[in-house]
Amino acid sequence: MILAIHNLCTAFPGPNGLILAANQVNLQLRSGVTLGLLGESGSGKSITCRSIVGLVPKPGEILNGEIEFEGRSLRRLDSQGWRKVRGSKIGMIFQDPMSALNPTHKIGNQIAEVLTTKLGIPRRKAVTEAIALLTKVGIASPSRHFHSYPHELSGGMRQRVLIACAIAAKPRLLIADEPTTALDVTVQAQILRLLIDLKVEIDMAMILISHDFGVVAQYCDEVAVMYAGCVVEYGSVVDIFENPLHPYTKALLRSIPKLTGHEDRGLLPIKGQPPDLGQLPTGCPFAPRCDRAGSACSNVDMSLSGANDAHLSACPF
Amino acid sequence: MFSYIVRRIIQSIPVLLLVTLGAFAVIILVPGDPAQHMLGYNATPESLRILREQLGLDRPISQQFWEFFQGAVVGDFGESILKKEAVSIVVGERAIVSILLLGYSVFIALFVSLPIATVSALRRNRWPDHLLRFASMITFAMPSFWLGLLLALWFGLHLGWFPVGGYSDSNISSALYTLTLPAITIGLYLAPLLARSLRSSLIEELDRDYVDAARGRGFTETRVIGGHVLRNSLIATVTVLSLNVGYLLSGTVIVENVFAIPGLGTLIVDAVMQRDYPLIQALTLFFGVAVIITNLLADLSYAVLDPRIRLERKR
Repeated sequence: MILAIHNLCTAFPGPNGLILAANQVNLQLRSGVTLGLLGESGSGKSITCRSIVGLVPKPGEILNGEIEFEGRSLRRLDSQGWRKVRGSKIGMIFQDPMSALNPTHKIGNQIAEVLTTKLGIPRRKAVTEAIALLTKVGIASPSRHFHSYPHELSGGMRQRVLIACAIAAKPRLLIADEPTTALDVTVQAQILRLLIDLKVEIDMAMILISHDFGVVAQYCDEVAVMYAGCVVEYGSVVDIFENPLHPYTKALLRSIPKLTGHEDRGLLPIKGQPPDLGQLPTGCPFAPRCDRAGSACSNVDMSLSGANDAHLSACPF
Repeated sequence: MFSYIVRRIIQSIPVLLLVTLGAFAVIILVPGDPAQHMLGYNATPESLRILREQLGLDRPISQQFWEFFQGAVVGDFGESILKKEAVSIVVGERAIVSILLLGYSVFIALFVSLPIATVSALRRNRWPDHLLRFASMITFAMPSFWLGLLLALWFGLHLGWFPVGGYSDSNISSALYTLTLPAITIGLYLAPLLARSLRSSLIEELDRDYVDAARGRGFTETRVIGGHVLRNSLIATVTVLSLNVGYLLSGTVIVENVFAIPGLGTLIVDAVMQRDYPLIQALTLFFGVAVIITNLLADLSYAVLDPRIRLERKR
């Protein structure tokens, strides 16, 4: 196990008490594996990942739980401890490539900065390596673009630069928070392909956050489906897509429009609204929208269980 | 970058011409006869005639302006009535003192406000922030003559670290030594203004995604703030600073008086009181040019701070 999360609870103060953005999250990740974190907006995917690297936006904070990375606890690391983990061991790619680069620094220098500070490479050599990294992430004429500023690049190129920053110090784990959401569909596939290639080359584990079933199905080995801050189902890609256990996963799969369906069935949306995290029902948060819900659902504790350890669901029914 | 600089300089030329016209117009726009004003109402017609001739008032206005313009280009504004010396020399001597004082004050203001704003922004709405904002409100609210007197009393009379007043220009270090207390007085007026604008732009900048992205790359907090956030927050502060520098060049009369510093502020007051028209004209032009230059410098520093402002096309 490269990463193990036990009972992670991350909360934000809300008008009526605490809002649990991540609620008793349990995840395991073996090295070299790509885990897809799937869920709609507000389901706690980003907060879970930000909790891993200790960058929960204020005033949110981790209330409870344990995060182990390579056997060492990441919780209550001091700033010096974090400095050794972030960048060097865990790379992070944020959602919006438009704003995750410093607008006033040359992109080459932003990559070189990682090399000089994290790997102690002298400045001149770092410049050469930064140009090599630009080549590696597929930036054309890298020595010229070394001197470009972020506003001179397209969204796809900026995301490539951010990827170069994240992998510059060859981390063991790469967390990509919806890396393609802000990009054109044609660019999305290129960026994801690049991430997978780099993952194999550097031999990293990867967490790929997405709300796109297609992306997860194509690029991930394992999937964790999140709903209202909870992991509701966990399993291999094949298990999740061929044999979904949790009603939410099933409903999600049903809602995907198909071009090749035999019958003209129209769209099958999940009824109701995404839940208000401040006013969750007791028990299973999906119960109000679930077509199989019964009175026992308010006693469900959302812990994962299943016939085998490789495929777990939070729904006991 | 180069074309941006050239464009900015060219843009300031019309303003410069207008300022020159305005400085010249001082003598025409003031009602009454300048010669009469200067010599008083007991002056003989003969002396009035001589002064008019000396000032060139007997010639047509267009010719007067042309002569003033020619003189202004080479820095010749005639002789000061008050000081019986060439205006350019009088202004030059005082300008050095004022520029030195202002530069020193700005240095002190930045030295004080940068750390205050950074701590306030990082600990926003917590006790260090409240304390620092309260303290800077006090120094800002204190009138400069009062603050100046307090400093002179404590550091000058009581502790004897600095002179109570006066200015020595025998060498640069003694000049700075004598200017320390006045510079602190002006600096403490300026610092809260800078700290305020810097604090708010730091807070805005700290919320941007690239800050957490830089933290996520495992940089030290010092590097994230000092290397990334601070520089991007400086533009608003440069604006506040440049506006105040233009004003403070002549706006330091009170501080100059408290510490008996021979600067431009006291000179312009004397010149106006004595109706020393050549001196008033030269000083008006000088202040105008100074404001233009500070704005130009501010524009240039925007371009240095933020590459997006250099609207130059690459290649």
